[in-house]
Amino acid sequence: MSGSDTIEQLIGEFKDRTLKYIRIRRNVYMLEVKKEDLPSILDYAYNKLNGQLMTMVGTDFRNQADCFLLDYVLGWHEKGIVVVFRSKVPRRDENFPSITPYVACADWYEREVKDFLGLTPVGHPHLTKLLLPDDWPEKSYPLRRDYRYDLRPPFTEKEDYPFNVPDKKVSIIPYGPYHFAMDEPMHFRFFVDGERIVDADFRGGFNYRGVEKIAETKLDYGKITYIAERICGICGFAHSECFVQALEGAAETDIPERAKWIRTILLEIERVHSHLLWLGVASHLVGFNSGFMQFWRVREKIMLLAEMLTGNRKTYGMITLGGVRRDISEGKRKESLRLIAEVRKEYKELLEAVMNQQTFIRRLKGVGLLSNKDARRYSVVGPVARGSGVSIDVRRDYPYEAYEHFDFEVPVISEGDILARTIVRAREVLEALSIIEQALTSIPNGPVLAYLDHIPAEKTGIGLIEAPRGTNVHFLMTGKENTVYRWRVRAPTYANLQVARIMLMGHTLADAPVIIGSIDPCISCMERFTVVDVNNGKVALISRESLLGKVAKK
Amino acid sequence: MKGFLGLLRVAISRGRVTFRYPKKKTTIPEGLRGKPEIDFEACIGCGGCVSACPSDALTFKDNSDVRVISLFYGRCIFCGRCEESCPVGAITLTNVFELASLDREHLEVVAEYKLARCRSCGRYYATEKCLEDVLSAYNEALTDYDEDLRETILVCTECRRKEWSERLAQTRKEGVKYE
Repeated sequence: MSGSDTIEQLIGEFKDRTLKYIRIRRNVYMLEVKKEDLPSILDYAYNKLNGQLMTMVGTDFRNQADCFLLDYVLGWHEKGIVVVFRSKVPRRDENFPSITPYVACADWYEREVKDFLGLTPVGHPHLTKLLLPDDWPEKSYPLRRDYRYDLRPPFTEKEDYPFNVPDKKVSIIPYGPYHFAMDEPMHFRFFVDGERIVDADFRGGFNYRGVEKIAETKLDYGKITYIAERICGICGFAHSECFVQALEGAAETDIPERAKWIRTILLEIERVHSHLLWLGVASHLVGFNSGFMQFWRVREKIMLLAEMLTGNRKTYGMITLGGVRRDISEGKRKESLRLIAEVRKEYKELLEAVMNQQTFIRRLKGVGLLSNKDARRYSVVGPVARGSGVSIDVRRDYPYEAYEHFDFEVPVISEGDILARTIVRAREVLEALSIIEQALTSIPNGPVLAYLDHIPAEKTGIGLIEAPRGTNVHFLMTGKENTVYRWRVRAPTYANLQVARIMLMGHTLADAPVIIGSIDPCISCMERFTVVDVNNGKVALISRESLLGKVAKK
Repeated sequence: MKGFLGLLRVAISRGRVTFRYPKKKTTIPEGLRGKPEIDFEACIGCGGCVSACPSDALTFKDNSDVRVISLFYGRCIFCGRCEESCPVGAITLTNVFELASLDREHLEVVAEYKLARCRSCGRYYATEKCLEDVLSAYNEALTDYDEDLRETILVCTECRRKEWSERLAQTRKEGVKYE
């Protein structure tokens, strides 16, 4: 069944209930439906037609059409299409029927819409705060257009997040946000019976800084590209690429071939460095510190490669609208090929030695199980999905930049434990190295920057990137005068962390750090950390003056 | 045991790769995007970099007759947009990357520029250096430049807009005059 068949089937099924049907881009469609029909339509599309929930976006559209917009973005990887289900929520009636009872992974998205826009998902099973702090004032919704970006509600000591405590008699163990076995700021409550974890609940949002709000109110396209890169310290380039892809899609521009190649090379360099980082961290989490040191030794070469090509070890700053900012000279190209060959040799040698470490392997085998069924049900992405036998990879399914020109395999393993995720990542490193080599040898000549014309307002763009951790989805609506009207970042951790509870259940407390670690969680991504790098991490939006005041006081 | 020996072999054969960093310096590749330095002699205080800076590291403030341009390294993200946007090439990204400091003041550079008054309304609107730069460019580019056009540079944007729209209205009314 091809992409258009799925669309026809969808249209056919809901002919009498579709208000509008448009094809936004080559493989992006939009169906406008009534909000009352959302649960039944999405239930059918998600459960019967096996769609994947990619993101869900709420937009304050009151100034234009006196309503809020809800966009549920579903993707069909095997057909390479994306369908946006749009629904309008009128200003007077600020609620919509929740689809979470049918589509389990819509949980967080709908809670986020409630947090930021104040639209209530009616029928949501546990409607609690997701990203906003407990002491955030009632009826204050930061992503509404009339909310000022630098407004700061006062701090209080209020802490009343209602955790989902199971009915059984359990002991409660709080874990995080600061914990020696956790490298990211998140909070878990483990409900344990002896050593076994019976259930768990999650509370996040400690790093939420409101990068979307800043982008929507204060920045223009050119600036957001760099700010987007600062969302994450590990896969930042994927974010800026994703944003630019969404925008270039909305503007319907094409970029020069050489720029596509360079972007691809950098995306893969980032994947290699990120996976090597993860392999190191995973080793560290199970107490295998020599693995940690050795993986990071190999990774250092990749960091040097990135530094040579872009001028920085991590935040590459290479992407700009319409191309890239630096070209790869012939000398650098040859040097890169040499470095890649070196990395491959050292990596293979190390991987073989590590995979023979029985103590390491036994800590990972059979732990943190995620069944294929659950992986599909929760729309997990990236190595977590591929470790559970779900064959999805945006590079193959929705080819972007220069990926269609290269041969690469998508490793899929069906065991669903941490070992499977480890092997998937380990193999992906080799695939990525091969892609970099192919790209470096076949890079076409030509310019690296195209001129981008004026971008019209109210265009919708969707960026899909296979970041190291999984599918990155940026949803974008353009605004007037080179600004974005709405920008929604969905990082892979957002989709994957929702299944942490399932992975943890039934395992021992000692395995918890590595189980959570196996997702390769990146909270800064998920919570869209940016702009300010020094503060106490509590409130969402911080103005320059107040921050400087704080620093000065010290 | 076999597995352990394998890893030991890798570790020994690759040896030590770390070194005593602050004592021994690292090699810095060509083209590193490090600390941006402003050449205040060359800078004309136009504020182009300020509007290009994504993270508000560069800011300016007009205090009656002086414009204060400041660069706070604590906020800088080393993207290099200021370098790209500077019309006189006064900003360069150096390869200095060791910026840690215990004192906030070490991370800020500030320069002051005298502002010029608008010929028409008397408001301070652009730095004197910036006007000088634009006028000298004018003198170079146009040999028999229009004195009228030169005058428009010396008035602020608001007045210029007003004046041009008045002229336009005049032209509409009377038709274009060829001399």
